Parts: sequence; structure tokens; C-alpha cells
Amino acid sequence: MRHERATEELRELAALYALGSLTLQEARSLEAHRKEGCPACELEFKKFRRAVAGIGLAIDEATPPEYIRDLLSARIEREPQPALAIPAVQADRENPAPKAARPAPVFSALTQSQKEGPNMLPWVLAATLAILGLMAAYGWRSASSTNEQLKAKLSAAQEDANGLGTMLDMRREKVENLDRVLSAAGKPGSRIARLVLQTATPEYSGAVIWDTELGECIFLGNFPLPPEGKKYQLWFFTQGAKVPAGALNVNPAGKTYAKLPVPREAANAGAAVVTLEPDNGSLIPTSPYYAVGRID
Amino acid sequence: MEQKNRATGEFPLNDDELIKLIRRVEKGNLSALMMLYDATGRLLFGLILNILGERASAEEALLDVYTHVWKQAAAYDPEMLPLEWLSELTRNTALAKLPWSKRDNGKKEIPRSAASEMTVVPEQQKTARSSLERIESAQRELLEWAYRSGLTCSEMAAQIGKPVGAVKNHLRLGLGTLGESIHPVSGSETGGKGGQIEARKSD
Repeated sequence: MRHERATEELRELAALYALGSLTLQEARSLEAHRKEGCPACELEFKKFRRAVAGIGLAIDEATPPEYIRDLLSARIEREPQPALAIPAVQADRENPAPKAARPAPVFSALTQSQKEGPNMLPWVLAATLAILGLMAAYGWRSASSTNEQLKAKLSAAQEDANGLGTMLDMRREKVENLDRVLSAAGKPGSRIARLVLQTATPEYSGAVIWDTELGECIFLGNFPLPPEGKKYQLWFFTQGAKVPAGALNVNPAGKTYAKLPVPREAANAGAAVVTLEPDNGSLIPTSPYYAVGRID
Repeated sequence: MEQKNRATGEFPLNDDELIKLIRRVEKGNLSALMMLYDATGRLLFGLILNILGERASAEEALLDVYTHVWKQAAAYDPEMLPLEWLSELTRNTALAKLPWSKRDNGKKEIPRSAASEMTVVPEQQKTARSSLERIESAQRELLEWAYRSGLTCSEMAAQIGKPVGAVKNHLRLGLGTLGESIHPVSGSETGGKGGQIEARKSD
């Protein structure tokens, strides 16, 4: 029976099924119903299934011991690869009987035919040719499948290399960023502002390191992704001006890193401020201050 | 090459990157599996440790989870986000190893301290945490116990001396609140996360 829409009773069943809290009998009954294909129940089940999975994401993380990685790697090396297995080809390789066993009867048949007379010869030759043809087809197929496997492995290796290259680039960029931060922070004339969120519970969320020698600053922050159509913007506040210094991009992990030139008008700035502005930036702050820091 | 970011979540990955890794694992790419482990190992180990409460069996379960991912990456359900799929798989693996004698602690809360790190996809992790906080405390306690123990409503009701109906009601309401909070538009499948997932199915 298909339900027109989900009732409270169905929602309860779907929720408890997704959570694994139904008795075996109740669960089997719902499974039987699911097999019948009921879109209303299926939608509820999917919704609750994702909610249950969400509980696991809220739990505190824990660092597994270093050796688990090595154990995993070793264990996987022993496991058959899931995608490269080609059953038909494997089966052929595991049963090489046609290649090894078939020629023998051919030659014994030929010998037999010579003993019995010339009438058998065409048949024996035809059989020989047929078997040779089969062997050639087998050999071609085997070479072709090996070729396919090598291609698949090459493709996987290329993807692997690309992935590692990306990771390497990310690390290199991170190291370069750290170098810049250390260099800027270590200079005698550098100025630093620690940014505090202007929320009900103020907390440090970033810093501006101003390299006065180069006339540029490095912005480090930990902000949530901005709403659609908005961007964070950095400002330097002097006695009489609010000087825009540039937009700040937030990566999916909520981290912000930016190297921005410090405008000349901001030379005597006493504070650094972050606001949320339209995507294309603004010349004056148009929203409440999101984070503020005094420049020391 | 030596991997230094071992299960540290040092390089958080977004959903699309996680999906790409799962697809590469499906093709038999061991490095992709190890990258997936590096990105998600801490989260899944925390989850397992919370269910099993004991490191030795948690370590074994963690190995089982990634071995399963290796063998069954093709079974990744694109209707779920990668972390949701991994979370479900991990919970099932851990519960299969949980002795019945350890399923009776209804008072223990799932640890989600504000100061603890969230390294895989921090936005999803933050949403999950804040969504759990929105559930009324009695419902949340029961929900977390059910999640951690895998007990049926009747078994839970018998242990705490309450009617089965009340337990079912609490769980349904708690899970309903959680679902609406984590995936506010998933019911309509017209946008938001639901929309993204729909779009991925066609990839």
C-alpha cells in the first residue's frame, strides 16, 4: 500500500527505523513496506537517516594512534582492489586449460587420422584451424584486457599524482604564508592588531600584522562563511578617516588569509576593523562592525 | 611519499573533494583512501570511541570502517553527504562491536565541548552541534543514548521504567527537531543541501 502523505505514525516509524530503535519485527514490517515502493515513507526515512548521521558529526574528535595508519595501509595492500577486478578476465586467467590442454588432442587426433586413412585429414585440419583460431582469439582478448587494466592503473596513478600534487601545492602555500607571517611579525617596525568579535560573547578571531617597511599587511582570521552576496572587508581607522583596505575571502574551513597593501592614508591608523559589505566592496562601512582590534 | 598530516585534519576538505576521494577509492586508489583517512580519521575515531569507550576495540573498528570503505566505496549513497555516509557506516560498525553489557548507560552525554576542534568540514560539524543543542534536554538524552547504544525503544523503556510510547515520542520529536535544524529544506528537495545533493546525483 502506498501512502498519499506521511502521517505522524509513519514519521515515528521512519524516525525509529533510521535510528535502529525498532524491534526486529517492526523493522521487518517497515522494510517490507519500503520494498513495495512508497515515496512518502521513503522521503521521511531519508530525512531521518541523514539526521541520525548528523549526530555523529557533533561528537568530539579524537586522534587515533599513528600506527593505525600503517596498519590500515598494510591491511588494504592485502585486500583485492574493488574496481580493477574484471571477473570474466580473471576467470579466463584462472582456467588456462584451453591453452594448455586443447593442443594435445589435436596432435593425437592427427596421428590417429594418419593411421586410419586420408578421409579424416580435412576434418583434422579444420579442427586444428578452429582450435588455433580460438587460441588466437583468447590471446588477443587476454592482451586486450591486460592493456585495459594497465590503462586503468595508469589513469589511477595519474589521478593519484594529481591529488598528491594538489596536496603538495597546499602545503607549499601554507609554508610560504607562515614564512610571510613570521617575517612581518619579526620586523622591528611591525604593528599588530588582535581582532575581537563584536558579538554577545566577544572572542579573538583574527589578527592583522602590518609590515610598515613594505607597506602591506597580513590578515589572519577565523570567520564563518559570509551570507550570499556579502564579503568581509578590512578597514583601517585613523583620527579622521575610515580607509578601506580590501576584501577578505573565507575558505570552506572558515579560515581567512590575505596579504593586502596598506593605503598611504592609513599610515597613522589606530584600529583595524572588519565589516560585512556587498560583494563588490564599499567605500564606507555600511554594516555594524564585525570585529575590531587596536593596532599596537 | 611521507604523509605528515596523519589523521590530523590539517587540510580540511569540502564535500566535493571528499566525494572525489571516495570515487577514486572506488577505482582502487590506495592513496585516495589514505587521504580520506587523513581527513576524516579523527572524526570517525572520536565517534567510535564514544560508542565503544575503549581504545583497543575502537582502533580495530576504525580499521574495519576504512576497510569497508575500500571494498564498498561504490556503495556510497549520493543522497547523503560524504560525512553523513561515513558517520552512518562508522556507527553501524561500532555498534556491531559493542557488547550488550555496555549498552545500559543512559546518563552519559555525547561529548561535544565548545573548545574541541572540528577539522573535517567545520561548517557541517558546527551545524550538527548547534542543532543537537536545540533539542529539549530530555529528548536529547534519550536520542544520544539510542544513538550510542543501538537499543530498541522497548529495551530503553524497560531500563528506565517509562512507557514505550513515551520513549518513542521523545525520540521522534528529538530526531524531528534535529532533522529540521540540520537540513531545513531537505523535505522539499528544492534547494540548499538537498538541492546540492540532487545536483551531485547527476554528476
